[in-house]
Amino acid sequence: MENIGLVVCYRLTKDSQFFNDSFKKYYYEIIRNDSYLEGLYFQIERNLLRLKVHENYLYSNGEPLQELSIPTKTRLGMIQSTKIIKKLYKAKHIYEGRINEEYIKHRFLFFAIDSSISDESKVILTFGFSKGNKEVLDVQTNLLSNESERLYNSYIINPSLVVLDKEWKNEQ
Amino acid sequence: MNNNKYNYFFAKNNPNLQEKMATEQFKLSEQILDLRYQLNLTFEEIVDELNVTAEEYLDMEYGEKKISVEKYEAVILQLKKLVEGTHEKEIIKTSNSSNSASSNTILKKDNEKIYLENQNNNKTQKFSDMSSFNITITKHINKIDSKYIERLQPVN
Repeated sequence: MENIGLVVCYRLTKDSQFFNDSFKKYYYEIIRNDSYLEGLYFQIERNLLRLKVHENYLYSNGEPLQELSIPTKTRLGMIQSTKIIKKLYKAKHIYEGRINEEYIKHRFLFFAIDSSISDESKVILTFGFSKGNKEVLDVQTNLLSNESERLYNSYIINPSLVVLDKEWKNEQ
Repeated sequence: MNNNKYNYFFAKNNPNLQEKMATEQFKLSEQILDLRYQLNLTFEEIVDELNVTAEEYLDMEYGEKKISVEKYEAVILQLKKLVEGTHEKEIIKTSNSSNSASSNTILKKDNEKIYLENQNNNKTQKFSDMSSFNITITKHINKIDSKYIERLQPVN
């Protein structure tokens, strides 16, 4: 069981049909431009990095992680318990990061990799999106979690073919 | 320069977060988060154990500057004591390799009494003092961390 060493983005090129939902694009266009979301995402990342990875699954206190809740503040400063991470059932290796507001729900998808595959254990963010309508959100989650699982499988087959965000941030 | 042991990827090129991470309060909040994960307590449980309000504790997990460094340090001290207390209660969990899986023994200190509990058969052995405990424990456990033993005081 290892600590997560790094959180990085999967590189989705502009010719990918999923490019508009790539997490990096989402982060810079949505999260970074909203100080509330930026602070909350940072808090999620701080908690995420305190989990462990084993055989490409997240663990908390020695148990496979199904969901993780932490206390957060709403935009109005009210304290609430928030489910920030949830293991998706329909995609075997994919987790969902969550920020729920009253009228809009923010989601980002990721998978975990342990150091038997990579040089260090890491979380790889794939997609980010926000929706007000739950049904649309569910459709989007299903579509992008399937694609995330496909990206996971690509990474497992050959990590060196996948360029992660830390190597291409100058292109942004 | 960020000397944080955690690699916060998106904070690297973010002046707001860099400024936050440079504060003494943020560094102390990192310790608070680490200790909460060690304790495996919910937010409500941890607030119950500390002399702070829920709002103050949450501000400390966020590394807010409006809380004084002294208050952070007081909470860290309390959390460290809780971690030590947890160790004293659970204290040592080990499988005795010389006796296969049948021996899974936990040493407990509760209300100033020392117990050795076998999880496989739920048998509990009580000790009146440290010397009788020490004699018995060496028969049960191959490896023992001395720092835990030092914390245990003889029972009158």
